[in-house]
Amino acid sequence: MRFRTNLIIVLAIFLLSGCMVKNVVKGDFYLSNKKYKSGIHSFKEELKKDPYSPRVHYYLARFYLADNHPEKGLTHIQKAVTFEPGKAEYRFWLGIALGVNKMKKKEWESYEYALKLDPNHLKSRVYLAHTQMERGCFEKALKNYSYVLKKKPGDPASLYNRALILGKLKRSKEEKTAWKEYLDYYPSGPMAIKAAGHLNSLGDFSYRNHLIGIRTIPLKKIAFKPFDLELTKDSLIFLNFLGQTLEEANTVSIHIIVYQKNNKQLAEQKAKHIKKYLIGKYPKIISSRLKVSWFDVPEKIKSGKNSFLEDESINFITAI
Amino acid sequence: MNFKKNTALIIFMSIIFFAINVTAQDDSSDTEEAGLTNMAQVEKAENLALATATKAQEQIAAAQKNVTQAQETMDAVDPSDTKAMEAAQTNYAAAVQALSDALADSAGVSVGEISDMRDSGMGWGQIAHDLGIHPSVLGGGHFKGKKGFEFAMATARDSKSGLSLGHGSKAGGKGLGPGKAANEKNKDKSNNSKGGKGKGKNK
Repeated sequence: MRFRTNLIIVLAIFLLSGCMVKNVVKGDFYLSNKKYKSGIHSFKEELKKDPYSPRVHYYLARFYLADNHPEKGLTHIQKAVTFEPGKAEYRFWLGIALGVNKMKKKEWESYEYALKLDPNHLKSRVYLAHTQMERGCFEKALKNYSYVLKKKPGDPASLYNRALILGKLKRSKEEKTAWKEYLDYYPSGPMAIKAAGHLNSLGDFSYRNHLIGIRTIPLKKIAFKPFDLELTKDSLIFLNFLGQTLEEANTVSIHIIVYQKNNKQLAEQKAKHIKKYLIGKYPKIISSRLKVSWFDVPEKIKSGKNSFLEDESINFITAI
Repeated sequence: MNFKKNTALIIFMSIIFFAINVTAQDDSSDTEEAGLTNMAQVEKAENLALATATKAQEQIAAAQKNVTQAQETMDAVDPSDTKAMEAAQTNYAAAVQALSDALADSAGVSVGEISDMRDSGMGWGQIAHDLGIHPSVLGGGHFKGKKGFEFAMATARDSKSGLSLGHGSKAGGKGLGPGKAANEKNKDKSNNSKGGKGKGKNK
């Protein structure tokens, strides 16, 4: 009799956990394939079988939120939280649902609650910091982003927003370092363009935006090894990116302009070396598309209202 | 014996000819004159590049307008009129192709990459934005024209993924950008980055 009872319990647990695993796999499948409507249809059926399942409500909330039905999303995530109040992930999504439904105060309270349940729920910490930034609580936000970066050094929003906050707090030396760190991780994309602009406004040209054709491309400063005509490893990565871009944009020609204070010969050698490198590595780029120029004076670079002088610098300008 | 001598001579001459040819090519790039010789010319080149980019952007905007019009025409067609629907669909496909080609050519990415970005659910405005084309050209998404654009971008929440928006080209696609992040993502699968091609979403 006792054996039978145990067997029934084990089977029930097995079936229940099997059902849960099935729902997780199915739910993640619909989410990752962006099949939100199919997900809603399928999980509504699951809900009929088990109306008190927090997981089913959670997935329904995710599908509704992704499919731009914030009110329905909120209703389901609230149910998920009610049925399983100790899960940080559900509290996090409750925060998002509240935010989308314009309940800002409740939104950040929900992220705070998620962090009480699990202080290492990094998504909640990042989003809580976002709300703190919006409320002007820069010091608090900075603390949270810094916490996230200790656990996950490449978190993009934390890297970017830390730099942005340091700028607001007028801590320009740290700000400069923070922008460079962001750009080391994320050197392309719209936020990288903004980050390079911020860095340049501080008089640092380690990264710089270049207009290649119609596209603005941030590039790390192209540099040579000291006392040598060999390009640094980082420079090769960025030159390769430029080369690939020019191979595809086959109607675009560029000027390669090298500035080397008091050394015209070296400037000329550098300009020609870069051209040779690009042509050698990317044979589709014909020589006439790369025009070289060199100067023995510093480059005067304008950034916002300010101008800066760079003794050694390389600029790329679309040639018309 | 004579034949051997002649062969050796021909090989020797070929090597000399090849060496002279290569040296001549090298010399031609080494003796290349500077394209721009003073700062006024540099400034002029910069202004010209900017003006030309603006014009090219306008052409792309026109191509995008054609896509919108073709879409509207297609939507207005009675679905039971198969002939008209076919014509509208062909027209729409051609407009999309023209815009993809224009974007790919001028932005230095492949048509395949543009197509992948479209397939991942990105609108034309977002594609242009992510490629570093000024957002005013193709619409630029829901942040366009709002005060505190950067701030809004930096604190944006994504109700689809719960991640962050607009950071880098996670895919590291050919023309989309270099990136430590793309390499790190492959190393560290635990970071849960979504990595839609060029979409720039990260945890």
